[in-house]
Amino acid sequence: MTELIGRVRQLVEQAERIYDSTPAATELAAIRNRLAEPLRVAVAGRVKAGKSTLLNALVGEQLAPTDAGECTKIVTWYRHGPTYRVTLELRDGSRRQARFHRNAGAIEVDLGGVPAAEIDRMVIEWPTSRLADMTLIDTPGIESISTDVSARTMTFLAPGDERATDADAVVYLMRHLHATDLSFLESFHDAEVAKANPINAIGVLSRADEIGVGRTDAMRSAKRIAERYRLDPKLRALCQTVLPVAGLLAETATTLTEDEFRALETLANQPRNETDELMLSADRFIADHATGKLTPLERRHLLDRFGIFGIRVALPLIRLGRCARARDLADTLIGRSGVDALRSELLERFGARRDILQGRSALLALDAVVGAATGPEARELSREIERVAAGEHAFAEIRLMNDHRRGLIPFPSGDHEMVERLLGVHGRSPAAMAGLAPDAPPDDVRASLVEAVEHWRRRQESPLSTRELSEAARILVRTCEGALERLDGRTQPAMPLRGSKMTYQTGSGALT
Amino acid sequence: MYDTALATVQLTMDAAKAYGRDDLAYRLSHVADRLRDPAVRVLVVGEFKQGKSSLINALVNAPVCPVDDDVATSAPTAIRYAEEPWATVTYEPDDPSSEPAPEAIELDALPLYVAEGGNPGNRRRVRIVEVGLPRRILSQGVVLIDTPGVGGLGSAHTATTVAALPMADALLFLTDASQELTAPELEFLATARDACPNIAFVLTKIDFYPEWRRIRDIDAAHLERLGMDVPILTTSATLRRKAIESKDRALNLESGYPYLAEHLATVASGDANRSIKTAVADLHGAVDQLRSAFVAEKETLEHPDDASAVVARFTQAKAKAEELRSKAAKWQVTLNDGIADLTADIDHVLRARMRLTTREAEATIDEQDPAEIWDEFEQWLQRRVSHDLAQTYLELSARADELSERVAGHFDDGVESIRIEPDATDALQTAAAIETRKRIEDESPSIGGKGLIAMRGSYGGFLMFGMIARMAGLAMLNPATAVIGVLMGTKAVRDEKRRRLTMRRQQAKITTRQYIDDATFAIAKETRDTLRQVQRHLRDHYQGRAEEMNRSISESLQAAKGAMKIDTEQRTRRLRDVVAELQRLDGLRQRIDALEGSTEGKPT
Repeated sequence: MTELIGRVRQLVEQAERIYDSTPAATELAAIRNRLAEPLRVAVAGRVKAGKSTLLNALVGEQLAPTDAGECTKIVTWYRHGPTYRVTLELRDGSRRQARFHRNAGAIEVDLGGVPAAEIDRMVIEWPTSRLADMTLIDTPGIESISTDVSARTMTFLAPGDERATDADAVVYLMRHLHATDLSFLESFHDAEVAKANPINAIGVLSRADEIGVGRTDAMRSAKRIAERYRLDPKLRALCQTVLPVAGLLAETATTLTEDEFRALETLANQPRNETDELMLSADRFIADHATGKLTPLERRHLLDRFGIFGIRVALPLIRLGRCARARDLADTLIGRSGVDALRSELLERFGARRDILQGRSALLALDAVVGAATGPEARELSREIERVAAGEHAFAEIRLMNDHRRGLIPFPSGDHEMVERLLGVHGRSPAAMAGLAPDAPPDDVRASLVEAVEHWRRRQESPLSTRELSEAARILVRTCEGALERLDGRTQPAMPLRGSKMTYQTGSGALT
Repeated sequence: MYDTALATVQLTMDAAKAYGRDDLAYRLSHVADRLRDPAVRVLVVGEFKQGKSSLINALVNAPVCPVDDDVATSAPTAIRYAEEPWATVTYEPDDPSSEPAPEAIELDALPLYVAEGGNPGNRRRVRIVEVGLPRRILSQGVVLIDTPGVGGLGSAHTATTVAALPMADALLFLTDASQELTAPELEFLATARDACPNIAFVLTKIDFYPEWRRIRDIDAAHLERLGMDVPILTTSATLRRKAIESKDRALNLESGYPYLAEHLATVASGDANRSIKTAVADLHGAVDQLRSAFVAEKETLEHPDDASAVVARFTQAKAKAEELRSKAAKWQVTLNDGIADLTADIDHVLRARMRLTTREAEATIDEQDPAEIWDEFEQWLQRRVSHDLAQTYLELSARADELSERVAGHFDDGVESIRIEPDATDALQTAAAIETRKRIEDESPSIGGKGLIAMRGSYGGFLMFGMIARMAGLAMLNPATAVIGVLMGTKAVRDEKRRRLTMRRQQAKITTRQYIDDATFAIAKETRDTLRQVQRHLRDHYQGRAEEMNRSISESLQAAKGAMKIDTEQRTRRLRDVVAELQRLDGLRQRIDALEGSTEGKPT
């Protein structure tokens, strides 16, 4: 447990003593328990954005039903557990076990007559290692966009009233849309589970395989489009990065069976003109009278699992002997689908800052409980919370990142790249922060970071810098020093506030 | 079909000239012009990335519309028939009142003008790109118009597209088979249904989505709920391209394009039927007018005893025709009153819409911090206003049509109503030109200022901490205490923030109202101008018809009076000549009837 988590835990325990045997006690216990849990990542987006498909790809099993049903209307948690178990948590606070069975992999839950509207959440515990470092939350799709041209659709753009949320991080799914489109931005409008901000959100350009309408170079186009989104100022204020993922391909590849591989092999070994004929269209592929060794039912199965794009990508790999076994094909397709990149991005970006994200979530939740209360003890606690929130350097970095992405700090344009790099956009290792390769010699990393310290110190002290800029520079100096200390194996001092006269406060509230 | 029609018009024109009726010949020359250039404007619309450009390219088998995996089309393209390929570009003029001239460009250079890559966000201010291609499918006058993606109901693109709807002869609405129709698509269809008579629904990319039949059925149900009984076509541009490459007829059928081509041919022939029917009405009117003098003369020559009665009848008709011609004619009153009513009504509708927009805008400002949302808000406001404008124009267009028909009701048969197509583009540009004047800057104090407020408000905090510090025996005003004081002063910062937020909101509301006021003023002027143009147009048209009728009746009266003076000997000869002339005109009339017959029984 890190120091930050330790301090937050102390605060929570302090609150529990104050609120012992009051209604807030259960909530506080939940906050405390949450600190020991793995990171919670919510998957959000509009209906048909491919949420369940992506979730299956991340879990590596076809757990989530991917067709419409009552279950996709309930917030569903997939978490690591010792046994297979499904729990319904009702709105009235009670919980009950639910019976379930699996239909072609997908979990079908028997709600036992409880109306979906009364269920707060469904928790599915599954003993898979992929959930050990990450709890996944499947959210109901935001309904088809509202019809009126209402200005209210922009509500999500105001991160002003930050509040506690269930998720520590969010993966936002969007289909390929126009940057000026209202509905495009609306896919971020999901205040129920978590609000997006550039610290805890990643955008995913889902259904990337559909972009080229079946052309095998679709992923290249998808990367280009994701790059455009990444540079879009509106999106930059909402999420750190945008990645393309071919959801269906990813899901199928992570759950590829030997039978399916053999069917593909059969197809690949047919004469080229025969397969070319089959691959013309979805209709031709499943036609009853088509030639070849596969039955129409087998072909239908392949099409459902891979889509035209997946089959077109897989066949040459088998034909050219690049993938001789199911395992090889699965690995190659997983690589192509972009889901690996997403997973490592999640672990790298969120996993490495888990304590910060969790500490932040916990403080927000704690503040919500304590903030409303009166009495001297509560006030004292409230001040303590604020002190931790304002004093923690990691939070200062988060605020700086938010304000920077929202364009509130007048950095000279030449500084932008370095600011993002130092704030860990490419990773939190000293080398990544120095903008060098992971295996760069420590002396180079050190030289680069020392140079950065000097650069920001000059900015901090320059009479030309505005107060915002010099304050930001002060934080960045501290960030570089921290990286240098880690490089040399020293730990960060407990109170990074020492020597600073003022905390950094331009955003909206100490924790944004 | 057009050739026969043109020949008949030419014959009638010659006859009119021979009988000295240059006014009729002049009007018929316009009829001939319309037949010679039978543009059937087919608007291809849909959300972006639904395959609009691909469809057009596959249809004409040429890469005229740039296609890209990312958003491609930024400016509209019109593709029409030509013997030799050509292309032109027309820019928005710097001076909105001047009419821009098209410039010739190379076909290869099209992406530079139309594509998002070469012309991002239509920065080059291209109004339209036109392309001529030697394709059979276009030879019946079909003009395909590729539009930038609709992109959500509120977008500026939609407003332009909606405004263009009454000017389109037919609409191809595209959506791909990846999912069922979305709410904005349905909304757009509902608007289109009322504004454009001929809509076809096209489901694209059926080669890629195995479930396309299910999607088609769901969409068909959506259309039924909208009360839209329209043809549903399913297409695949990829299959079409492969079919052409391999000359595979079965595959071509699977691509759905032969059916699409058939549909366009039906649209074109339906339109041809309509324009020929209009021409036939014009021709009949002209021949009737040519005949009337001979009929009057014949009657007088045949029944010299009743001559005075005939003269009396025509004198009466003349009085009526004179009345139609006069400024005080009933149709003039209907027209003037109608335009006055229309001006008031449209103004009212516009203001009501704008009031609603203002209210919604203000509600948003009250819920949000204007500094945070201003960029989006500004865009939304502009889109919303252009949407209001487009809707207002749709209404204006429909009401002007109605008025034209009412005016026509005052004339006898043969004075048919004409379709009015007010031009909304000018007005739309005006709206875009009014920029929101001010931006609301986040004028929050610098950190220093903020610190100051915090210090002020944290006086109590200092005091308390000071006491604790004293009790602990520590120095009072060390830097750490100052920091803590700032922390505790958060409440003061919040109060100050709230005060500034209120100020920003007020500022935002003032700016919004100013923008909407300016927009309303400018749009109201544009609609008034448009209505004045409509009025002038209708007045000139019907005045012309009144003049024609008046002249025909005058000549008939003259002929009847002349016939009374002829002596018996000459009478027989003259009667023979008159009957011969009438027979000639009857021959002409039969040809016109035959032309009309050729259009019957065909779908319109």
